[in-house]
Amino acid sequence: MARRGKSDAEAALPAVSPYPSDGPEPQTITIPVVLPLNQHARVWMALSGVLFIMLIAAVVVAGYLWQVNGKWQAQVTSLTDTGYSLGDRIAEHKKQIDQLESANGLLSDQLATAKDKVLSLSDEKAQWSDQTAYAQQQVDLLTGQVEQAQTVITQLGRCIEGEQQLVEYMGAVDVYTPEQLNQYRKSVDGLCAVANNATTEFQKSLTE
Amino acid sequence: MSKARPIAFAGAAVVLATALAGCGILPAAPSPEPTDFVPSVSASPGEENGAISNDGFSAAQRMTVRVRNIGCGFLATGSGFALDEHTLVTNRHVVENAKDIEVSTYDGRIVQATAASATTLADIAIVTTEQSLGKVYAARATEDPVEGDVVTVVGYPNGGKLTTTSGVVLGETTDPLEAAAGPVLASTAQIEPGSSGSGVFNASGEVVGVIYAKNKAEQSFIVPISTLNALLDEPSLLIPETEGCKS
Repeated sequence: MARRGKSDAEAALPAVSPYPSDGPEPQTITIPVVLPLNQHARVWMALSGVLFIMLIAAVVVAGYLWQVNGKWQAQVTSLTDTGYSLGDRIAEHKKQIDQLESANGLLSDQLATAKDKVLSLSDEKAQWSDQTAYAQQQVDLLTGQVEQAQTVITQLGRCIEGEQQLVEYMGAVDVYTPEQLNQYRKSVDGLCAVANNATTEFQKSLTE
Repeated sequence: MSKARPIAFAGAAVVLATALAGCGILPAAPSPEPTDFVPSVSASPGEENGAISNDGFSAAQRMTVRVRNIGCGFLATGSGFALDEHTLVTNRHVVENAKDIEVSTYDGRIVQATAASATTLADIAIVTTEQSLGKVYAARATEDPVEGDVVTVVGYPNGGKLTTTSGVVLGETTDPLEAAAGPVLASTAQIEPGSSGSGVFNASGEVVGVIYAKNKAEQSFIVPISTLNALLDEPSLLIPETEGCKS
């Protein structure tokens, strides 16, 4: 190729000499010329360079991926172990939850029973208190009736005593004047009227 | 300058750019594993649940009381609910003509009433006590229930055990006893004598009314919470009841 390039250069020399024709004969000098590579060579070189760079890059990427893959695999192994560990804990907790739910159900039943018992006892106490209050009312009523009866008895006693006294006085006509006897009779009648009224009131209160 | 160099530079640039772009799609190494996979519990369950006490009774049950009216020659019982530690609400007809008023709590404590006052505008009475009624009091709603609302009545029907019943509000009506000044509410909640004065609770546990009567159709009648709130805001409407027997 160099040879052909050289003959091409010679053929391309100008036909007219640059020196004057009347001077000495010029000496012929051959100048070597370095010609550029042709298009195909340049493409191959560039391609080789690119491929080389890509090879280097691929090696770097492969190394990186190898390292990342190792880390991921390690983490997957670790996560799998953690998953099994958590699964064991969940199973244990489920077991505990089942046991606690069972106990909770039992305790709920016991609580419901205890609440019902509290309400029953509270109700029982309230009923007893009602009965006590009612009994107290009856006692108060009876006490009032007894007191009223005692009053009636006292007043009836006074009436009877007065009547007896009047009979005695009436037997002693030489001692008391008729006016005195009449006056005493009126006072005895008054006492007996009060006693009768008290008796009526007492009988009325008993029927209420 | 040779033409090969620009091509080589261009090729190198393309390769470099491709390599850099490729780095973006390369998988990254895994991030460090968490040290603990179990999340921490944010709050203990039931921490703010004030509806249930540690003895298992609901707030509505704990604030409900049984009222015993020891009158002159008669004994009557009704229900009521605590407004605060020393005040309860019941019906006027529950405490009328009382010589003595006693209050029983859900757990059997007996508390003596010190005074009672009532109004003629509604069948409502306020009773005060010296001893504590407990630590759970009624939360009064600000609005009356409306037709279709589900309500719960807690009281002592027939003077017996503490009982909880539910029903539906039928709507506003006039007082069947023609005693109340304002409208009252009718409901399907089943009540009995002795339920008078029971608190009526909504789904949130707030008091929305006071039971005071029933009819032959088994409908119960409620003094609405708006009436009770108005009475409590205006204490002059409450007149002290006179105790003791008329001779």
